[in-house]
Amino acid sequence: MAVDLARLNVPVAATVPNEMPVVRVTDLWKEFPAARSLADLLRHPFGRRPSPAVADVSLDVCAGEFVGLLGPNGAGKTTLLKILATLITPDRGTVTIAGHDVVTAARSVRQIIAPVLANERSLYWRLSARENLELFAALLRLPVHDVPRRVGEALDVVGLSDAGRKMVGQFSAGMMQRLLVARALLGSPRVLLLDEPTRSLDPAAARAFRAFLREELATRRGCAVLVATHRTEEAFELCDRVVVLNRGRVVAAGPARELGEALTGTRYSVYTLEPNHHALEEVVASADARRVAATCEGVGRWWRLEVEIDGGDASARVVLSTLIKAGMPIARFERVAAPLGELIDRAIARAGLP
Amino acid sequence: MSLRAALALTQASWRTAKSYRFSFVLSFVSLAVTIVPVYFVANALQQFMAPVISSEGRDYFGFVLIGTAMLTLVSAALSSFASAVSGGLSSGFFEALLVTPTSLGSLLAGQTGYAFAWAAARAILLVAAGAFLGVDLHWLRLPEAMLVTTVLVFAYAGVGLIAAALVVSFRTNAAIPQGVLLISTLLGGVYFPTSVLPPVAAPVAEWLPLTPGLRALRRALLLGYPLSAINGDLLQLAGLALGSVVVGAVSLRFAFRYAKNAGSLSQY
Repeated sequence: MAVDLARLNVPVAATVPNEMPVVRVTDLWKEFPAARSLADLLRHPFGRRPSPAVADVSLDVCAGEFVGLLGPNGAGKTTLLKILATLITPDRGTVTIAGHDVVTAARSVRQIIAPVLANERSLYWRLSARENLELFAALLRLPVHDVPRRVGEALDVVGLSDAGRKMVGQFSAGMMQRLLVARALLGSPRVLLLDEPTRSLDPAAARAFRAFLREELATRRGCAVLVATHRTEEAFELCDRVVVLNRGRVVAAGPARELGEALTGTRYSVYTLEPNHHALEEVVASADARRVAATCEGVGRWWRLEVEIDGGDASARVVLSTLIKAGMPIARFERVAAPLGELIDRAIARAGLP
Repeated sequence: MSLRAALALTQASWRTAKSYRFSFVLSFVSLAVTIVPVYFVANALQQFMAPVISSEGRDYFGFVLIGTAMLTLVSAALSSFASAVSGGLSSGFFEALLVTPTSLGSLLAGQTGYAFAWAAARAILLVAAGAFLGVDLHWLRLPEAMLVTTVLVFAYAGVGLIAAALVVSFRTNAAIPQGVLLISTLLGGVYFPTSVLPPVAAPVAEWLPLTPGLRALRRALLLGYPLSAINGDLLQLAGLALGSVVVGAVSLRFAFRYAKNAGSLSQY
């Protein structure tokens, strides 16, 4: 399937054919007044310079699908999620969740969606995890007799059963993040909106949490999930499809694997004790790979080399095999996602945007 | 309006307050600190104040006690909405509440329920302590007193809603709760009857809900007036309450619509 890239002033629609989308965003536009200097305010006190936060965005998400909204700060990811969560009214365009319009049928929408936008301060820290969930069960209007079971299940799903009676203020960041997800799952939502779900987690915990999200939300529950993130690896590891946003516009959209190969580049990192091993020099000399950077990790004199290998994973496999056969000591060899800025530049260049 | 949701939020606030045990106990101690000096000062002034307060009561300590108790409720009505909204917006908690299917009215009722319940408990304790210290209360007029108190709280809650609307729109309450509380304390007849006010201030005092509210309440509880004898003040108070609640509710509605358009509902 070809990567679907935006053209100048033409919105990119990220759609999955043959399935009825749960979330449908059409030609969405939202602008906010741009920040102005004091001098500008004094010169033109009533002048407004609106700046688009979301510009002509179209997007569909189907049940059981994970869609990543990838972009730098200010790209419009959170604004888009907040429009879906009925917290911001769009200027133009339509947004429907399971057929309900987010503006005219906001209350119906709130019964279907579960945003995880707020941070851990949105929990009662002096209450236990169970008490927090019981409160939200009442707000979500769950049947009273069903609350203990639903709360127990939600805690169980996120692995917090044993900590249910513990005060939330004593939780680690990861546990709080899990509790926020448990809170979102209480009402059995059809759509989940996750804003930077791993922002306060260390890399290992973030990876485990992503695996949990993927398995529980999309595979087991069949939720439509929208994840806003500025972490390239998170978007491409977690999501089925990725929509790249920049300055409110969609600059690229498509299946994660294909878009990843097209945009994240062909950079690999090699962990070795011999950064100047003759086999690597030969590979570089034959133009199969290019050295980008070499840094000493400092522990046991291990070096981390970054190399560009044309031809993607297939060529990388050949290069790795060559190096190992030549006896180069390699502890780790992995693909490195390009930095977000680089990725967006590539997307803009490919889309022919200015 | 979901009573269950409002009660759940109130209960959560109660559990939180209760978890700070020392502070919780200290707040009861502060009640005693409030009432004891008032008791001695009022007794010392009794002979001078008796003729001045005669239309609202005979005992100056009882007069001040009812004023102080009502001021506790008025203060909660004025400030709790704006505080709840401002605290919720800055922590992100309000955002988490607003994306649930619970109505805004229920959320606000729940977010302020504990503050109102605590103010009511303080007011009841003050009045009970006054009775213990010898204030002659007409307990049979309790239904009238509760009616007047409820309408009085609504009258100030309307102003509280306006302050909350300002917080939602402009992130400031423009010192409205503090200003109204100050003017009400000075001119509303808390410590002295409004009949002693200078002619310039007297008409202003009549526009404050506290003036007819306290007058009716004291006449019912301290002098034993029936409902028929206080209905003039009650009607005046009800008119002010209706006006302020309608303006407050409309302001808040517009404020939320404005904030949703401006994108400022969930960020401080």
